[in-house]
Amino acid sequence: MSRALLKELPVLEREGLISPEQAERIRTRYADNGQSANRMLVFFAVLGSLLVGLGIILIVAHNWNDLTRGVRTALAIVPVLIAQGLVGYTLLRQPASMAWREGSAVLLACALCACIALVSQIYHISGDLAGYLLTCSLLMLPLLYLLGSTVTSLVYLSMVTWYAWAIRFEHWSNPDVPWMALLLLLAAVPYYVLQARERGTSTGFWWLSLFMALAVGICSQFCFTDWEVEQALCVMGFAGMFTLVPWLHPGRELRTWPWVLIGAITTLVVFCTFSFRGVWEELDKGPDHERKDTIAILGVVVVSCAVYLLSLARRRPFERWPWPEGLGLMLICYGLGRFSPGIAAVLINLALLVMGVMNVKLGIEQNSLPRMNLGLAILGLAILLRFFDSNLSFVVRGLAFVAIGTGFLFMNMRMVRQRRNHEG
Amino acid sequence: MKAKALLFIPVALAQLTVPALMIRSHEVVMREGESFKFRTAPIDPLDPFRGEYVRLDFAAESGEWTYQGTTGQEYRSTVFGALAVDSNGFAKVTTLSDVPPAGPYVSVDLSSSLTQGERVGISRIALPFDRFYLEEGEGSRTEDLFVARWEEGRREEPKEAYALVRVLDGKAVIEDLIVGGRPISEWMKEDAPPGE
Repeated sequence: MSRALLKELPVLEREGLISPEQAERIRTRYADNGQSANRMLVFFAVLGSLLVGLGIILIVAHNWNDLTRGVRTALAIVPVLIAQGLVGYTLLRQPASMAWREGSAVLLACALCACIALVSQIYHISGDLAGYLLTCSLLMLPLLYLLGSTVTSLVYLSMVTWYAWAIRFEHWSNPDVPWMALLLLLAAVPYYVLQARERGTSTGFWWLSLFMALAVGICSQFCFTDWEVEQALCVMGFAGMFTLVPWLHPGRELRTWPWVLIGAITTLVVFCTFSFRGVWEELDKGPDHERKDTIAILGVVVVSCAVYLLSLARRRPFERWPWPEGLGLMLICYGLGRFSPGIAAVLINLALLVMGVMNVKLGIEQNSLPRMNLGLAILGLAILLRFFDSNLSFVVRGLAFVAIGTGFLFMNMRMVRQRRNHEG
Repeated sequence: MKAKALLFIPVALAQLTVPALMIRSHEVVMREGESFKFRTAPIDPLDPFRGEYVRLDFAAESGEWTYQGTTGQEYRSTVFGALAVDSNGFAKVTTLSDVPPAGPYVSVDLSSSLTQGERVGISRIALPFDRFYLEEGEGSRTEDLFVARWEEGRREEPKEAYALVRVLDGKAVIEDLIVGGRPISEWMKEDAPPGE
């Protein structure tokens, strides 16, 4: 329908029925429809390729005993050759089509995973899961740069994170550190920057940012071995740096919001955990207690403090959100907590309350329901958590629950009414 | 994009080289390797990507060895295990060393150590092969073959099993799993699980 209309536009314009400006506005209006049709095509190309690829992996997993070793080996290679052919065709004939680039890259990634799995199966290769994930990730990496496929990059980042987990936890008594995962993540950084430049405002880049933030956050923590209370400083260091990412591109709108999201959630979880006095009491383990990660934690803290100080050139303290300042508070509490765990816990609780109030205030000022509810949720959580380390009766706890719930309802109703009045 | 298409040629070749090298190195051992029988008992786990397999627990992995340099805290450090055949025709690891021995050998991981007085030795090693992949649904049926069962009031002992392994220059590839003197594939071809 819209295509027919667009074809008719020059005729209507010639006949004087519509002005050139009106014709241009109609063209702009229906150009969006073209884009959404393109998005649907990409979606179905990726979905189709994923289904075919996963289907191949499942068929491979069946393990056909009746087929000879030679036939099974050939069957392992053929899907890779076909998918490579499709990638070659895409690069030569369809370089501008996102549907082709995404579809062929996903298919080749799945075919490679299936091929390595099938060869392992045919020759009963014992290699553990970590080795398999590493091989597949390395084979997949060039596809990110050659085809710029977002879905393949998401699969790649997931596999690298899974590999780091496998190295750390597959053998319980194994003290291996997944350094290789960090190198693999580093290898994806230029791709991320390239995507930010070319498609920084797209939905695909939003997802890429989310997976990148999760992969960096999780893999970096697997490189530590002690996982004692001090680890929280390192976690807060990363969280602080994540929430500063939007200031890396001032004046340019990029969808890097997921970094802030992950950083803020992490800060909240750490603050909630450290709002208990008992956690601070674990700090004092005596001078003889051996810690392996001290230098690494110190390194992360120093780097994140330096990043924060550098960010002051572009951002005023507490501008837009208070998350980057979380590390500073945590460091103060860490110093105090060694002498007085109670004071450290009180400070963290106060910080949670201030954060809650700040978000409620900003939410009301900006007329933003999600932000106001986030503030209320932080306030409610800070209050509810205190019930776990206090001996209040069920009646008092029940009344507090009712009060918090009523507060939520009242504030939301108030804002909705305010909006209606504003619109009226 | 033409440049990218040209770049894709070495990438595609590298992607094919990895499985090709895996296939070649294992094929050489299958064709030219010396055959050993490793007495075993399996349990059936599942790999999320590679399907169903039985994990093999070999009798040759337990024993008493002395190994110079063992501190009692060895874990996953790899050494060379010399292979020999016992009086029943099954493979055993005779010595552990840092350098490849003269005869057939495999690389083994040191799993746990044993301290008796002043003597420090190795009580458990891990052989470099422990999986035998099966067709979907055969894992638990294979495991059934290794469970003692009661037949008309008479206890039927579990069937003896061994893995036929080809060994060449320290590399080992499982060729087949033999249960009660027959390859596992023959047992699986029968309609009902054996012994029922």
